[in-house]
Amino acid sequence: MNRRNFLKIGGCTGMGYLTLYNSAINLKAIGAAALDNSESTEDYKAMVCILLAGGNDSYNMLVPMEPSAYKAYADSRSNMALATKNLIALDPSLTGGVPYGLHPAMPELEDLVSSGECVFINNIGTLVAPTNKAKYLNGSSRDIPLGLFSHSDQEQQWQTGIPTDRVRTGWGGRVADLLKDMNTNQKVSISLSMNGTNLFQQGNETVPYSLNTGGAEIIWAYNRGNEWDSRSQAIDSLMYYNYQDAFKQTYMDEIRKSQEGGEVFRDAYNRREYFSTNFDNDELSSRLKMVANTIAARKFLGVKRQVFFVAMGGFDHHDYLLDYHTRDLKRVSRAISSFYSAIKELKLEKQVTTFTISEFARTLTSNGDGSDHAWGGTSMVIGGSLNGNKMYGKYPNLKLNDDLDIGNGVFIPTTSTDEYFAELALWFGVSKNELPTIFPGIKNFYSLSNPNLPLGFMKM
Amino acid sequence: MKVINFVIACFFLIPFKGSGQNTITYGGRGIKPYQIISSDQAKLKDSPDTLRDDSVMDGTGMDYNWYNMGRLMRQATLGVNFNDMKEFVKMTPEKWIDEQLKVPSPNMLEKTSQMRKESRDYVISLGYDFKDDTVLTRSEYFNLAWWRHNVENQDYLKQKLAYVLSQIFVISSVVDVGEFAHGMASFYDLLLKQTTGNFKDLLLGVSLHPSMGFYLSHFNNSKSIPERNIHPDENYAREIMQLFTIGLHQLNIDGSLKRDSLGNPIPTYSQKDIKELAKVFTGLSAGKAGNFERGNTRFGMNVYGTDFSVPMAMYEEWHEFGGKSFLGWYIPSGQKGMKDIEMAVDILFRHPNVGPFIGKQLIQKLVTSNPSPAYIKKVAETFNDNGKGVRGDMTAVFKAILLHPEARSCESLQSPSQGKLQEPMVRLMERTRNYKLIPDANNKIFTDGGDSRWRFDQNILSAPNVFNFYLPTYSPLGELRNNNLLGPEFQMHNSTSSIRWANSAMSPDWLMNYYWRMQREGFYELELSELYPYANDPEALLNQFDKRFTKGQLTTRTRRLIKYNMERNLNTKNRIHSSLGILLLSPEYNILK
Repeated sequence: MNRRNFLKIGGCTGMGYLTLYNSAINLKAIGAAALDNSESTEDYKAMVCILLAGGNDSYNMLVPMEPSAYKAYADSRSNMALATKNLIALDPSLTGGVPYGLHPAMPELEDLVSSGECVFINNIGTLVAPTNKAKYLNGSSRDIPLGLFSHSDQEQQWQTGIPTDRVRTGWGGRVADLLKDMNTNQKVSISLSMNGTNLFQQGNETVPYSLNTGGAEIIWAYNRGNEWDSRSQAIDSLMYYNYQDAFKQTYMDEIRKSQEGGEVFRDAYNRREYFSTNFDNDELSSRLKMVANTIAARKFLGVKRQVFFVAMGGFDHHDYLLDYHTRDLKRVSRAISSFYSAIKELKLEKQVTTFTISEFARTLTSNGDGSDHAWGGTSMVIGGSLNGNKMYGKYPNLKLNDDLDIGNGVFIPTTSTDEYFAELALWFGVSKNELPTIFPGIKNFYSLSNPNLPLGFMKM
Repeated sequence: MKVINFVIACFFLIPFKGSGQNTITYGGRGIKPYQIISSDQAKLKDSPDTLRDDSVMDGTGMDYNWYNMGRLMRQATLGVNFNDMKEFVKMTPEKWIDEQLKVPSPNMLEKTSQMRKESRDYVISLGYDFKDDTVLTRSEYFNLAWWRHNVENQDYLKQKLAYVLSQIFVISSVVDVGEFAHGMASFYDLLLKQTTGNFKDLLLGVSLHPSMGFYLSHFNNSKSIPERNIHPDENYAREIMQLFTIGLHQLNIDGSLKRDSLGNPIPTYSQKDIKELAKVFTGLSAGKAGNFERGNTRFGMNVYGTDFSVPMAMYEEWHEFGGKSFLGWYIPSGQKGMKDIEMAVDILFRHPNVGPFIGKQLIQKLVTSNPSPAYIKKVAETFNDNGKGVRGDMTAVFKAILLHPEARSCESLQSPSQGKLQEPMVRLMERTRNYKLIPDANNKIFTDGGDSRWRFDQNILSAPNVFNFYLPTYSPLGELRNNNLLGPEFQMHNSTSSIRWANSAMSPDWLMNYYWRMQREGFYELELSELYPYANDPEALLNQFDKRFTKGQLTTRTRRLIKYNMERNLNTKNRIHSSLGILLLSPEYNILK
C-alpha cells in the first residue's frame, strides 16, 4: 500500500459517531504509520507464542523412523506407539539425514517443514544448568528446576524463563518492557493476549492487552444523540476524572485505558489489510486468525513490535491419548498452516515468528490409555526467517533406561528453554548484553562472547 | 476545584452534639458518637489534598446501622438478600457474626449428587438429549450446586469464609480435580466445616483430602526406591510451607519481615527442609474405592477408582522409613506414617509465622488490601491465643478481623491505604442477591457460573494454578504501585475483564448464564421492576441504591451523575436500568473501603 492510498483510507472511512475523541487518537496513529510507510522496508516484528497447555506428547508428534530407533520407540511406548505405515515420512534431508515421521494428523505441517519454514527443537526443557543422570540423581536439588513434572510450576517456568524461582514476570513481558518504546502508539500494549492475563506477558512496566476472537472488548453502551446520551456522559464522567483515592483511580484507569485502547484497536482493525486465507472454527484457529488480523492492522495501530500469546488447552492426555492427541494435533497443524498462509499474504513471513511452548513432554511408557508428565520434548518454530531443512537439539534415543531416561521414559533435556528463548529474543531486537537481565540462567548455556546464536535456528 | 464544605467520616441522622466550629459529633440510638470535621479546607488524613466531592460520602437516607452493617455485608458475605438485610440492621456486627455461625451450612456433597440427578432429569424433561459422555462427575455439577445454593442461602458468613479459604488452600477444576465434582464438593464441605474449627484440623484435613492429594500430587506419593530412581514428590511439601502456613520469609508478629544482621530477609525453610518434609507425605493413597473400582483399595490405585469424599489412607509399606528432620524439629523413626503427618502438621501449625502470614491474607481477602501492622498483629495474636489459651481458633480469628477498628471504624475510611477491589464474581453475586432472580418456567435456577468464568476468568474452585486468581503481594501499575500499596484483586482487573464488567453493569438485569446442557443461550434476569416507582424520584432511588449496593458510601459526585441521568429524557425502565448501570460502574461500588 502506498502512502497516498493509505492516507486516503485513513481520512474518510470507518469513522463512526465516536469521531470527536477517536479522531484525535487516530491522527497520532496515522502519523506514525504514514511515517513508517515512507521507509523502504518496514521495521516490524512479531513473536507469536503458542502454549500447548497440559504437556504435549511430542514423542508421538515427531517419531524416529530409522528402524532401530523406531523399534526403541515402539518398545517403549507399547500400546501408545503409532505404526510406521501411518506416519507422514519426512524427507530425511530435512531432518539431518535421519528419517523421522510426523503424526498423521499433521500433513499441513509437513509442507512447512519441507519448505524450511518450520523447524523442530528436540529434547528441550527447563534446566538450571546442563545436567545428566548422575547429577540429577545425586546432585543438589538446587540444580534442577522447581516442581519438575508439576503442571503449575512447569507451565510457569516455560513462561518466565526462570526455573529456579517462582517469579511474577514472564520473559515475554520483560522483553516487552525493553522494546515497548519502539511503538509510537502506546494506547494498545505491545503485548497482546488471546487468553487474558497470563504470566508470559506480565512485565514490570507492561501488561498484556487482552483480545478475544471478535477483537477488542469495548463498552457498547455509548449511544450518542438519543435517549441514552446521558448515560454515555455519565460513563465518560466516571472515566475521565482524577480520583483522590488510589484504589478508585486504579480501578477506573484500567477501564479508561482499556476502552481507549479498544477504540484505537477497533478503528485500526477496521482499516486493516485483508487476506483471503480461510481458518477453521476451533478455538486455536479462531485465535490465530485474530492474531493475523491484528498484525494486518499494525500500521494503523502505530506499532513496530508486538508479542502475542495464544493458548490451547487439553494436552494433558493421561487417558484417551491416541484419539484426543490426533484431534488436537490436527487442529494445531491446520491452525498454524492457515496462520502462516495469512502472514505470507501480508508479506510478513520474515517478520513474524511463531513458536510453541508446552510445560513438558510425556512419559514414553504407557499408563494403559495415556501417558504421564515427563520433561524434555520437542517444540516447533514457524516462520520465514528460519535456517530450515534441519533439526535443532539432539533427538534422544527412546530406549528405556538409556542415558537420559530417569524412569518411565522421562528424558533429561539436552537443550534448555533459556537457549531457545534467548535466540528468539535476540531476533526480536533484544541486545546480547540485555540477555542476562531477561534470562538470568543463560550464562550456564551460552557465552555472550560467542559470535553464533545459541541454537542457530533463526536467520538474523 | 470544587471543595465540599465538610469531611464526612461517618454520618448519622441526628446531630448528637456540636463541639466547636469545625467539629461536629454525630451519634444517637445508643451508638458511640463519631466526629465529623466540618471545614471547607479539610485535608485528607495523611494527604496534602483537600477533600473533594469524589471522596465525600453523602449519607442521605442512611443511618449508622445501615452503613455499618452494610459495610460488614460487603466484607463478610457474597451478597445479601435485601429482606434479610432489613433484619440484620437490627443487630450489632458481633451479634450478627454469632448468629451467622449458628446457621447450618448445607452438605455440598449431597447437593452435588442431587444437582447431577436434577439437571439430568431437567434437561431430559425439556426434551433434550442428556449425553453424559463420561463415567466421571465433572466439576459442573459442583458448580451448579454452589451457584444454586449461594443464590438462595442463609449461611452468608460461612459461605464467604469458605470462599476465602478456598483461595488460600487452592485446588482447581482447571486441571486434575475438574473431573471430580464430588471431590470438589467434599473439599468445600471441609472448608465450610473448618470456618468454625481450628486451623490445625483445617490443615490436616486439607493435607489428607484426596482432591488436594491429586492436585498437588502427594496422592500415591511413594517412598524413595533408589534402585528405581524414585524419590518422594516434593510438590506438597513445598506448597504446604510456602502457601498454606509459613511463607518464604520469617515474619514478626505484625507481618513485617525479620532481617539478619546484614538486613536481608531470613528464609523460613531450605531445600533440605522440603526434601525431608516430602518424605513425610509419602504412602498416601485412596481411603475408599469409588463406584467404578471393585475390591480393596491399594497404594498406586488410579484416581479414577477413588472415592474422593473419603480422606486418603496411609499405606505403611510405601511410607518412607526412618526419621525426618525439618525446620529444626525431628520426627522419630519407627512410628506410623499417619503419626509422621500429624507431627509435621503440628510443627507447621505451631510455627510463629502462621498467625501473621495467614492472618494478613485473611484480612486482605475480607477487609483491606493493606492492613496496618497493628491490625495484623492483633489478628496474629488472636491466632496464637484466642484468650483462652487455644491456638488456631478460626472463629476468634475471623471475629478479630471483622470487628477490628480498621474494619469497622469511620476513621479507617479516611486512610489512603484503606480499601480493596471487590472481586468480580462477588460483585456479580451481590447484584444477584439484591433483587429477585427470575427463574425459568419450571421455577429452577440452573447456572454453573460459566458466565463468570467467561467474563472474568473466575469461578468457584477454578483458579488458574495453586497461586490462586491473584497473588496477595500484587501491586498494579499506577497510583497504587506509585504509593507502595498492594491491590491483589487488581490482577483480575484487565483489559478484558474490566470492560466486560462495564458491559455487564450496563445490562444490570442480565445475570447468570443458563446451564449449557439446557442447550439454549441466554441469562437469568433480575426483576428490577420494584424500582420503577422511583423513576421520578431520583433522591429516593439513590437512597435505595446506596442501601443495597454502596452501603452508605455513595459519593456526592456519583449521586450527582446519576441524578443528572435520571433527569434526562428516558422512559421509566431505561431510566432505572441506566442509573443502576452507572452505579455498578462507579468506583465506590467496586472499591470496598
